[in-house]
Amino acid sequence: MTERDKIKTVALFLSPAVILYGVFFLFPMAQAFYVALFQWRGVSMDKTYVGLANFHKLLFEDPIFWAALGHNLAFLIVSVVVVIPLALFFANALNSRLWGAQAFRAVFLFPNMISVVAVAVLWAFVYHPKIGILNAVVSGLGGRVSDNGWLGDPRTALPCVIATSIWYSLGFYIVLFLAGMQSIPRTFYEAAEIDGAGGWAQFRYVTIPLVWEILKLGLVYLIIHTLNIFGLVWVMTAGGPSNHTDTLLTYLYRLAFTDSNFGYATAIGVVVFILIFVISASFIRLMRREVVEY
Amino acid sequence: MKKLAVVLVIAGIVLAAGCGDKESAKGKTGGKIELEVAAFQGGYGLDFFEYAAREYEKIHPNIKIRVWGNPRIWEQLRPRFVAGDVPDLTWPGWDMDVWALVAEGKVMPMDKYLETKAYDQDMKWKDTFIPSLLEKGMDKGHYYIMPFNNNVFGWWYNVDMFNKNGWKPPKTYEELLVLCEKIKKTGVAPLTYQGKYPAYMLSGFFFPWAISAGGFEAFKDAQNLKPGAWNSPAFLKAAQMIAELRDKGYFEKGAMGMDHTGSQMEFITGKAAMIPCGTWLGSEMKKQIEQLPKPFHMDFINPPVLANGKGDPSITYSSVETWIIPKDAKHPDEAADFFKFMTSLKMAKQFVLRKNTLMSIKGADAVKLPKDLVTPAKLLREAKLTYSADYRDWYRTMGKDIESAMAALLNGEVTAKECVDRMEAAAERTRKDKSIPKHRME
Repeated sequence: MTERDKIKTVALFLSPAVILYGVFFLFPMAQAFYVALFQWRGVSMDKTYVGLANFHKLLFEDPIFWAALGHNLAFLIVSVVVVIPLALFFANALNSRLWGAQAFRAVFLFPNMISVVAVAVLWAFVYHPKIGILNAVVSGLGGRVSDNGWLGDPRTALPCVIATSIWYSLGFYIVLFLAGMQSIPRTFYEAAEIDGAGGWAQFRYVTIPLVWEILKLGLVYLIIHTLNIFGLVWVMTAGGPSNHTDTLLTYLYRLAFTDSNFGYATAIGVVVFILIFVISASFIRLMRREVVEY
Repeated sequence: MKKLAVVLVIAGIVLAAGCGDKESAKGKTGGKIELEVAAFQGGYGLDFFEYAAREYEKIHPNIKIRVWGNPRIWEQLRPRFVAGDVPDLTWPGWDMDVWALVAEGKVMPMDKYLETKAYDQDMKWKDTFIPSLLEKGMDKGHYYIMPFNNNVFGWWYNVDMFNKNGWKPPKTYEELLVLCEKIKKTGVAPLTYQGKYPAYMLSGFFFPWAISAGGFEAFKDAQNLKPGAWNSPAFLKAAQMIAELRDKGYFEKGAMGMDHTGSQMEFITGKAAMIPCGTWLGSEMKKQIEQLPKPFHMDFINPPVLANGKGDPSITYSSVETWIIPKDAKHPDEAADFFKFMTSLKMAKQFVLRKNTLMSIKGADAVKLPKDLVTPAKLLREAKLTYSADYRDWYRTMGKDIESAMAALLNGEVTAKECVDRMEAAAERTRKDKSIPKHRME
């Protein structure tokens, strides 16, 4: 087989993937960047070119966009602060040879196996202003329950949705980190123990460095997930009360599909893409370390 | 290499043939004209349209009508509008921006059809409609969006509870305050509302009270985006009235966190005495009402207005569902004729009887009305004027902003003044945005 034939063969085998990727991913993405430059109602092929006007309006004249971005960042920050440490903690606990660890592994992954709509509906009942468990618990402990209901009160709506999102996503990160931890040879821990390392020192100096790459992956995944959050919010509050739980994507959806403002909505999509790209890239940079090979 | 090319070519041919087949199947079958009717599947279902289609086919053997629909039909129709492959007649649902379709020239003007003779009455089709409802669908002197049923909106009260306690449905806001105090003492919430969807609170509390305080002009100015209309004294007064009920604790606790069925359940189970809702309430809650241990009775009133208000107390809120014939329809003439048949007096009466709702056709209520419709029909007949919040369909983003301001008032986040200022700011954004085509209410 000559060199040319080889290239041909490689190209032949690669082409289905490249074509599919191009048609279903690269092309729509390029098109989104293009559509964002237009004013388009999305009911006909007629578009009006407006240049960067959509972006200008978005960044300088749209309070809801900034509020929604703030809510996404709240999702992101709370998730990073709560989910990553908790997931590491549980993964580490489950990685030990504790009694029942196997069963708990399955239990923690349960929420992830339920569809997001079902989760949202279930939790909406937990927060229900009349029959919700949370009401019963809080008033049982002598606390004051808001007159507006948990999801109707501007002060509690967002924290409630974020709490649900954490409950929903925690299992995934536990399993992710656990997989990383299980690939660490036992002998490392035994060696550390001989050197006098206690539980914390083992975790700090053996586990963390060795799951660092996976931690990074989990973090990037969390960034993408929280900046793209939609279904949970849409079903639980649809962005209400008065935009207090709107996220970039619930706002985008509404602008496009009920307000017929596709060009503007697409501009939000582009901004979300850039945000995810920039935030992920900077996290990856910040977390760059020499990879420990073993 | 060659083999792959052959495979690709074959695949291409198959795909192309598949598309072609679909194309030829549409439109004509065995010499018959096939009409596609796509309708939003809401509380009224699709069965009436199916029934009308079968009746129509009996008298027009050359036509076959295919009716389909679902609760999220606009999502399917939108790309079809872009592609120009549209149904012949459609009610695309609440979330389809029909005015955007009109603005883009995607809707067939109905003028010439409306001039033709009606199906079963000796007059023009145009004259069979309640004029104000037909005029809602006009743009620049042409008819585009056609009304069908006629949803009257107001308050419902629990008749059994009122009778037991010797309460009278309030006619004025002043009576309402006295009544609410009495109801509250019994441990029942005087009023509940569909907190997740503030549109109910706007049409149920805010607009009736603004019209009462400032006369109908106040509302018209607001719809026409007149500067200062949304935070005018009339609108401020309406917001203050809502704030008063809120502060006195007359609204059900937790209503803000409920959706429409949730709060309506509270109403039919006697936890709240009154609720704002349209004439669809009975059909929407039919199953739940049937499952109640005791029979439940409710009746309708116009929202109680200020005793010395400027606005006429008979003014009633009524809204329609929006039917259109797309500009790119393959058989617009036949579609228009079928819709004319659907709105004939005979069919309209059938719809009233079967679906428990009023119609936009004059005289359609001359049947033995279902009990929930007796009062709404009477109020509608006595109304000096009917209106609806058309701005919501014209300017959808502004509509959402107005709803947000209403929600913020009800959950105590803003004062009445801040609420109406937020509304005016939303109107100002729409006013300034030249890309939004403007409409006028005459």
